[in-house]
Amino acid sequence: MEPNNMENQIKEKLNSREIQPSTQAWDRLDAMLTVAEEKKTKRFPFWFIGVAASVLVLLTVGLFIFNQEKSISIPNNEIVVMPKNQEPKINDELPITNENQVATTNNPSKIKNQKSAISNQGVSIINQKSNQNSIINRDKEIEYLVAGDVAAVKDIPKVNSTEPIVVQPRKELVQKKSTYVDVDALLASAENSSKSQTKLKSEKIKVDANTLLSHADGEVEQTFREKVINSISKNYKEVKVALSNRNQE
Amino acid sequence: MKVINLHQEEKELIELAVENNRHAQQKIYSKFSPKMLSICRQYIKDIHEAEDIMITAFMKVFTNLKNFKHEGSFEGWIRRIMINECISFIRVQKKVKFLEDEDFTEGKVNNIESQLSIEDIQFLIDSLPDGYKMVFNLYCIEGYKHHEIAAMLGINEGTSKSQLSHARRILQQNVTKLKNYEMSIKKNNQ
Repeated sequence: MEPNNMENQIKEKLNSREIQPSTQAWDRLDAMLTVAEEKKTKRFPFWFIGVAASVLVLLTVGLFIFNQEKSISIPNNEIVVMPKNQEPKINDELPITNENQVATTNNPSKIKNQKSAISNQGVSIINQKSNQNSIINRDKEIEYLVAGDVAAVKDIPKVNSTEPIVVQPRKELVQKKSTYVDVDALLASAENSSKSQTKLKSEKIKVDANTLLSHADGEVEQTFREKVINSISKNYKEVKVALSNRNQE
Repeated sequence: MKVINLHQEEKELIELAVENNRHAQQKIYSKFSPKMLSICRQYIKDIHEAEDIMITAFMKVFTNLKNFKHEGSFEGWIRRIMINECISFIRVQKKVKFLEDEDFTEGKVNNIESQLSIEDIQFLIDSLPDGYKMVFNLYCIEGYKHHEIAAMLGINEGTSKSQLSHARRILQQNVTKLKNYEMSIKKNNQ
């Protein structure tokens, strides 16, 4: 149905009509536009920050993945190469390391064994002469000498070069010490049985050899001050032993 | 020459308004607002409500101005935004429901020779129910086809046609009533 006369008239008149809006209408629209502009300016930084953050995250993740791929690819290449070239090398290296380890470990153990032997000797002496205070003090001295002996063991090559000079005082010391220990042994023999006495005699020689050697070596290395202190302590101990002997008599 | 100048002027004005130039926006508003308020008034009886709708529609005009491609008339573009805003307002606020009656009869329309004043026309349109009014306005005044109206309002094409025929019938009745009323007034005055 086509529009009739009336409708055409309505159309023409309505299209030509204008209604002036109120003056407040523009003010309201103006306010709405400013609000929209503020929102836009506020929204922009947030959007920008979001984009920047996502870009950063993507970059870090990308780098992480890239590095991971690299680290994986390098071992793959090595695995291909290794079985042919590197396995024999490892086999060659292994015994060498073992030998080195054994050598290095053996050295301390030897030294340890020596130490323990000496200390055992000292202990045996302690056991045998436990009754006498003076002898205990001497044992301590022996222990001290043993400590010196360890130092001497380390410097064996040096000592060897100076052997001719050291030999003579050693002998003197051996004589002195042996006579000195004989006095102790006699004192001990008064209390102990004859069997233990024989043992002592057999061990005395050994103990004297080691301890006096170390003592002599230690003295060579000692400073004047240490020598003085040692001599004073020795004399003091001698006096002490003498006094104790006299008291016992 | 003058037309080209006017067109050029409008284009420059739009470009300025896109950059949130308030002066250009106000110029556009003052140029088109009287006509647009008239259109809104066709659909909405209350003049204040019509103005509100016009303002929100102008808001949409300015926020979407960058999307205007300068194809076709700027006025037609604004007009379409106004009509869509009015339709959505009526459908959402007034919850207009269209009766889906496909069977309608095209009544005979008497050609009315008498001239109608613009106030009479607005009165006649205001007397129509919202559904009929929308279809009548879109078909007779805006010149949309039934399938376009059906798409705009989300109804069947048949429903659009039936709505229009109902609107026309009511208008005819009201026009005769109005004429009779005017005649009686004239008689009384004489």
